Amino acid sequence: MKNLLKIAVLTPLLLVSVSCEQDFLDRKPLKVTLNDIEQGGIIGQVFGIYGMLRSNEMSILPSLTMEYFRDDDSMKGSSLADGRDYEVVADEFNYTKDHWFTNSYWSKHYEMINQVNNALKIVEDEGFTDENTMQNVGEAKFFRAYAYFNLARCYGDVPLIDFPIKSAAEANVPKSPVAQILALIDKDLEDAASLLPESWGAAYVGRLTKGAANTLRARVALWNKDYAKALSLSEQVINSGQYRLMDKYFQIFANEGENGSESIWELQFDFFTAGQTAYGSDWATSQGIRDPGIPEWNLGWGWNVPTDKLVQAYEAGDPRKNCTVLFSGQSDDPTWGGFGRVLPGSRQTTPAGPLERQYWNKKVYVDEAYKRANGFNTWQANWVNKRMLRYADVLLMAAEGANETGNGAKAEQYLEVVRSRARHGNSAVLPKVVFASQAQMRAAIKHERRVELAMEGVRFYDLVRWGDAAAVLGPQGYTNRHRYMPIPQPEIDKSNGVLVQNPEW
Amino acid sequence: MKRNLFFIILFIWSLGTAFAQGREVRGVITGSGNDPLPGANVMIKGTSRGVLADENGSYRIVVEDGAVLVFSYIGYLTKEEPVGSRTEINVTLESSQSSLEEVVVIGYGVARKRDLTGSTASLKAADIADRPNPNPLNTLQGKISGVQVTNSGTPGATPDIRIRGTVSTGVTRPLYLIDGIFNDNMDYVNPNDIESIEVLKDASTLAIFGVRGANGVIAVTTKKGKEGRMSVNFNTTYGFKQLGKRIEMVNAAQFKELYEEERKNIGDNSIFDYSPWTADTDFIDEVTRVGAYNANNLTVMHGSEKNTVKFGIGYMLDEGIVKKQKLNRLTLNFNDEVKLTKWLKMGLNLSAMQQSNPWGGANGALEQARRAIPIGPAYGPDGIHPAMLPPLQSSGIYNPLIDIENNADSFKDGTLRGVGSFFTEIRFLKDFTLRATWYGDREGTERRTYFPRRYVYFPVTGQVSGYELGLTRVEQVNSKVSKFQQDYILNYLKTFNAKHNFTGTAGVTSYLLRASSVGGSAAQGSSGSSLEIPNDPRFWYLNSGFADPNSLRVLTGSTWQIERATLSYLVRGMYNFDHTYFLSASYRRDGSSAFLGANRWQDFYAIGAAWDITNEDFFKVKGIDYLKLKASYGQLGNQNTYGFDYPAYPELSTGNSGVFGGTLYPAYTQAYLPDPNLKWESILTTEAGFELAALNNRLSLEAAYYSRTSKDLLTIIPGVQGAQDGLTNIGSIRSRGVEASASWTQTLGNDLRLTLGANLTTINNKVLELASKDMAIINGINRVQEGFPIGYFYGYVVDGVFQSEADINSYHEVIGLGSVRPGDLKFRDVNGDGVIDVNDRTMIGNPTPDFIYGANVNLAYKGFDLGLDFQGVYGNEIYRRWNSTESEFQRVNYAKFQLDRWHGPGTSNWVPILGADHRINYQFSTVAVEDGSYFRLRNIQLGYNFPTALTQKIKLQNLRAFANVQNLKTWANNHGYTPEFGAGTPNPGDRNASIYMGNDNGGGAIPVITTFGINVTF
Repeated sequence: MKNLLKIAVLTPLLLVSVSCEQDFLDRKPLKVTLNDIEQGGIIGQVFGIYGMLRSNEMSILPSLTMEYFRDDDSMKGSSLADGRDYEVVADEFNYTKDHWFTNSYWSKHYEMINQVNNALKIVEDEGFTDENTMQNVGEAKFFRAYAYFNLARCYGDVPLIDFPIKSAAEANVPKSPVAQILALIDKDLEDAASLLPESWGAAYVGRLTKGAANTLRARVALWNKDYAKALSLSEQVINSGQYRLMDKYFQIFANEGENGSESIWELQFDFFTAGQTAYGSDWATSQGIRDPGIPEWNLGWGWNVPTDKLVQAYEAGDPRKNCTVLFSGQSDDPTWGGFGRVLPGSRQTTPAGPLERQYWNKKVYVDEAYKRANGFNTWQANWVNKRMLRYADVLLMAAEGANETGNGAKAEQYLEVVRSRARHGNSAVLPKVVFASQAQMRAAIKHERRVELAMEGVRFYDLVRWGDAAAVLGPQGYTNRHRYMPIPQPEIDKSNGVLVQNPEW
Repeated sequence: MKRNLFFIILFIWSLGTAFAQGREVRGVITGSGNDPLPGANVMIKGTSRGVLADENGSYRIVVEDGAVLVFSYIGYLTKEEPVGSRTEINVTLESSQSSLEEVVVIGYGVARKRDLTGSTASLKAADIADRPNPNPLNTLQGKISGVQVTNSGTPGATPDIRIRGTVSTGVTRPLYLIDGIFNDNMDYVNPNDIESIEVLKDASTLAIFGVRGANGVIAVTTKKGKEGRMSVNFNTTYGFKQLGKRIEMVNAAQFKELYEEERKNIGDNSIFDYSPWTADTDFIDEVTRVGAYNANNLTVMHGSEKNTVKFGIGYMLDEGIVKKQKLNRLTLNFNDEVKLTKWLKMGLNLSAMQQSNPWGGANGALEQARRAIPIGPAYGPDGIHPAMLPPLQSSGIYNPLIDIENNADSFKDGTLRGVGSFFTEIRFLKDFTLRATWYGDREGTERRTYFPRRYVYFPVTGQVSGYELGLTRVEQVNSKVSKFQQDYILNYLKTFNAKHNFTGTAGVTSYLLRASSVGGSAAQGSSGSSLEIPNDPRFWYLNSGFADPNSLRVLTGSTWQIERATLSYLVRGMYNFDHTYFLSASYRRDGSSAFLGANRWQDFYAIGAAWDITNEDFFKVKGIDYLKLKASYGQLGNQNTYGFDYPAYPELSTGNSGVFGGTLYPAYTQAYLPDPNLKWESILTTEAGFELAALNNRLSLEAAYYSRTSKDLLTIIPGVQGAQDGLTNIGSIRSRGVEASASWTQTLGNDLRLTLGANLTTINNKVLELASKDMAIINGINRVQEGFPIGYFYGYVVDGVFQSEADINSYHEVIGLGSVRPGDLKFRDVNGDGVIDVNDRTMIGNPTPDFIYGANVNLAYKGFDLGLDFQGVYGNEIYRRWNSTESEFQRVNYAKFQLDRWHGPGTSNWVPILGADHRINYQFSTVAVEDGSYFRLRNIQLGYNFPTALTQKIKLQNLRAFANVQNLKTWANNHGYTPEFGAGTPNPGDRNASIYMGNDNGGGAIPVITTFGINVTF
């Protein structure tokens, strides 16, 4: 009897036990994995590359340091103590081998390249040929070219990786000559231009187009001094009929200019609820007027400010000066894109005021009323898109390409399109440049690029490719070896001797 | 599996027999001076059956023929008596300070410590309950050999615990086993409810925990009702907490002097307008306070032959030393065990905890206080609105009072946790016991945070205005964690031929973890007419009606869900011959849902042996009462997921989603490349040691050599050239050393008794292998690299400061570290190649101590007792991150030691010139490496037990009053608040958190806590 009772207790006791081990242990993530997405998520992977570009490492401080401050017209700005180390590197040409901005600039660009390689591999393995996927391929190749173009200009010879990395060892390859990198860039952009549409219409505002691919490819051609190709590519963009200069120069940088008629490619930043900036960025925030202790003038971090040289570079009466530069102690100039506010004075001037700098970048200066209405703090401007490629640049590239290939008349014509808009109807300023000689036209185009594209991150590499860098930047400490940065030390450390430092460093 | 269970059932069915009938034995247990010993333990040898003596020391027990009774009581030597034909056995136990006789938890059972082949150590209730630590783990510090506890000052926070060194770069914390349930923390346990804490350290005790055993086990046994006793205990403790050692920053005048000098150094010749900045504020004083501590507990216990019950309630308030930081906790527990028949026992254990969690910003506020410069006022002239700091601090540093005044109170963060278990134990076939236990642990946390509009005083304009334009906002995060565990454990206990003692254990256990969290935020509308969300907890909900419905947003970082399951088979055999030769073997097979394919199942095992020489006839050494030699070896597992929920399935990051014209398009990027053969880390563990009692048990000594070597470390291989990081099993780390503990008891005269105890553990750590020789896992200054100790500091060796241009010119060329000017650090040419560059970096510190130690002195005189606990570490280094490599984007307040900076030839040869542009001074170097050794008076307790004659008059069983001071004095050699800096556990934001060892970020102040309490038993 007692035994029966025991069994009666024991049996259910044991049967409550785990029923079936396979079911019990078979637990997949309660979240999407690549296996759960159609076509291996190729479209999502490519969209992810756009997202990568939003990162600080690719587009904000390291980008400012590499692409903007190293010229004569913009400098780190802010207060002296804030990020003084960036100034030492980029304004005074004391390059460093180990610093966050160069380490992350390098590694994030390679991450982008890797993401592209992975996406291309999926397409190749699965044999996708549908139109949507091929457009994704075009975008991916554009991004690989974009990343390599930055790396090649910045570091010179770099490792060429155009395959998906399956193990760390595979990726540890020596540098390839910069010419080989540039060839890959050109091929990728050629493919991208053939695969991407002229326009995405309203559905995908800001997505890459054929025009963007051709514009970047024209930039690469100029870097390679292939002026005929630069002209031809620029003219493909011009003749596509997709783009038109904005009526007023300052509109390009205002809210209305976001994805406007002059925009070829912009990094899209956005916010979805008041004050939340999950898909925003510090692009404009990083360049707003730095806190002087007065709440309504604490507009950002104060990086990337104009220099005296830039202010003096404008022709008399060029309205673009007041569209580009904010002057401490003066009105923000409502005629040229301001909002009718008067800036406090600067500590650098007499009489002294609380602002750290004399000049500030007006191309990221935004409407405080708009901020307030959308719940942003004064120092936040996280919705502002980063203008990557715009039509005026294409016109000037066409002008340069034409002039260098002996077509002075055409150069004059394209240059005048840009100057005529800049004139804003005031025939007393910015007289038309009439072609007299190739050298005269070359100087005019150089000047026009400088003022039209000021503070937009093209000047340093323009100076380098023109061979003017040593002359212009020499007083700041630039010598020929400064055209390339040293390769970040952590990458060399990781490579086990495979990656070799730039010979000049 | 199913088939196995079927066989077990069949086996039981076919062998069913009747039980032998027993008879009753009774008697009285007394101690020194013939005082009865209430609660003394009587066990039938070789079984887990036993009873406790009643308040008169009397016991009754039913035994079978041939039984041997084992009498034990804490503080006394255990005695064995063969029953023979007797029906009355009275025993007198001898006093002992030896811990060797204890019955200890060994995982899926208990055993006499003397019968074990491995190492365990215990801490008893008396050493835990009176200490002012809401988290009982804090109390372990310095008490047990082999256990390194690094506390933080946060109320209730789990300390960084590492047992016998660190052999993983991932999870390093031990497993917590609370009354049998597996946990990765024990935050819900009321220290007052703890009967004992046992620390299991070697392979032969840990292998039974399989994949979770490698980092050691901390097993907690809570108090249970005792047969034949009824008691009501009430205790209350009040006290206060103060900031002990402070870090020393400069005052306003000194700041101005240094700042003017620095501006000159960096070429800023403009005039700095100090007129709004005339204060001399000590921000550390402004944010700290004297905090209160209060704990109250009521416990009721009752026991009869058939039923033992215990329940209790506890309340605790623990205020941090940072203003407004506090922890409130209410705990309830209930425990009941019923003997339904002689062969059937059932029991229920329930505990619940409700806690309001401390403000998470407190540590940040303390760090901000150290950074804020003293020329800024704390408040505006109205004394209500915190003031803005000078704008030269504006990127990243703000007045911490802004948070304290506005945010420290504007949240509700509560945790409700219930843990319960139910067991059925059935004894059958004479020697078998089957125990089935079902456990559940459910924790729910709700955090509602309100972001008010904050108004501050602007000294530049002299006005109060909004700190931000920001809209009022509410965040609500609800998370829950459920754990279900089932244990089916079969025990077999048998003595053959009186001398062969065998204990067998076999079982099946399963574990299921489910956790999820949902978080959202909602803000007031941004149009001019929208309503502010009121600063009233009533409306701190997403859908309070005030928030703009269009602003509702899912907080992706707070919204997640996971599920993980483990299924395991275990078996253990323990054998001894006449309590002289001991052997044990254990094995566990773990299946885990985290991995796929062949590696889903992994095996762990251990073997151990011991020899009690004192039982041998040939060993008759005068003065030596007991000497056991022991050794064990085994392979254990470490369930290190590196903070990845599903290591085999890389998470897809959606944070990179595409945005086109204001529309969001999802994007998917794999977080890393998983190795298809991923599996758990395993750790090979060896131990050899001895246990000794001598000089009439007045001396007890235990010592062991240990060696733990991990293999197949779960490692993130950093991607080169943009490759994603890989996650794979490669690498090996070794930790070895010697641990020893000793105690001595001395009676001085009739009433004065002195007990001394000490323990010491050496730790020698080395990374034996990583993916490649040059690969380093890096987290700040810490590195993990082949041939070096884990987390070692890597940087430059400083030989002084360049005094002049001539000094620079006569020294080696410095390459790639920016320009070098007088006042900059002079790095040593470590590799001797004639230049100073990155290749001169080397090991400049080790965050792991050479040894850790603890000691205690206890004096008892009549009713008084005085206890002193000491504790310390020796031989490690600390990296002082504050005022060394921080502050790239702003000026933080200067430390007092910077008054001795270089400011001209001959002024300093160590503290470099002031100036953020001198990047060479911002490299990791020995200039900020400090000695981490310290020695601490950890605890002082003075207690008085009122005489029984007095207490009985007022109808009390016991009355005790005590005063306690914790952390009264620490002798240290570093500049920080404290010399203790633990590391974290890998998490999605910081995969290498566990190697971030020994970093002083200028926080972590550990308070001095003074408490007074009384303890009454009715």
